[in-house]
Amino acid sequence: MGTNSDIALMRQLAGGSEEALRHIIDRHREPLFRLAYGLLGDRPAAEDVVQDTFIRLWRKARRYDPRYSLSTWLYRIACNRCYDELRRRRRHREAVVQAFESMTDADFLEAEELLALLRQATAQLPPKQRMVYQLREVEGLSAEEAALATGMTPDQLKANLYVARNAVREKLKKYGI
Amino acid sequence: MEYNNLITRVQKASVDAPDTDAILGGMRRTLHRRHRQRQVAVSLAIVLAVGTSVATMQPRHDRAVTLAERVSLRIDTPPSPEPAPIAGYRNSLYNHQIIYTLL
Repeated sequence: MGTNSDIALMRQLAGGSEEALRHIIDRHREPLFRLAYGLLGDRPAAEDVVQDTFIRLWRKARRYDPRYSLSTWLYRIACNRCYDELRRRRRHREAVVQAFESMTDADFLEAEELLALLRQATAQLPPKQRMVYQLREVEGLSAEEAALATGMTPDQLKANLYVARNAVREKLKKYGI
Repeated sequence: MEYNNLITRVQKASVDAPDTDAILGGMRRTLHRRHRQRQVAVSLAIVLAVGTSVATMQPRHDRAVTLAERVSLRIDTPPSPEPAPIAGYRNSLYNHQIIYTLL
């Protein structure tokens, strides 16, 4: 459900307020970038997704439905964009696996390396499972928010998350996790 | 390391997202580029539409039609200031000198 500040901001944005846009970008750029980077594993592509997401928000501001929170709506736009990109780049999965085969002791890995490790573990997942995993497990969205962001039913979401989690855990066992 | 511990560390990891000014700058450049692409596409569509309608124009003079069927038309550039020599053609868009080559 959209908060009062979400609704007010979106109303200002629909009126063409760049100040409102700046405020929205300040608030949401990091989680959106983390989502896109986690899914695509590629910084320039993730930056494009974030940029395209805000462009779409700017253009569709009048259509904002206050039944949904702004963050959920942004996640939905970003997920759709990432999904399109993932379908186009099937070879990316293999490239990520090859790049990080040599990683060993996870306790001493820096944050960037941990992210890369997790991306390597999720690289083999089909796009929908990867998306669900990223939203629920990494971004910490509720089941309801994640369902809205992905367009799945709660049951579909639950099933995809169950399969994804098991697959990732199996993969991470190789690295002692 | 445990799985949950990994997830927690990943959640807290800073990803060095681009700053707001960089995002806004990128948005402006993208919107400008898309606007230019649309302008080019519209101009091209107009040129093609005009070219198609000129090509399908039928001459009023029957003799010219018979001739046109039997010759190859070669349109020469640069544009000539004199009007096109063929009766029946609208020459407001047709400033080129037309050369007939017999097949």
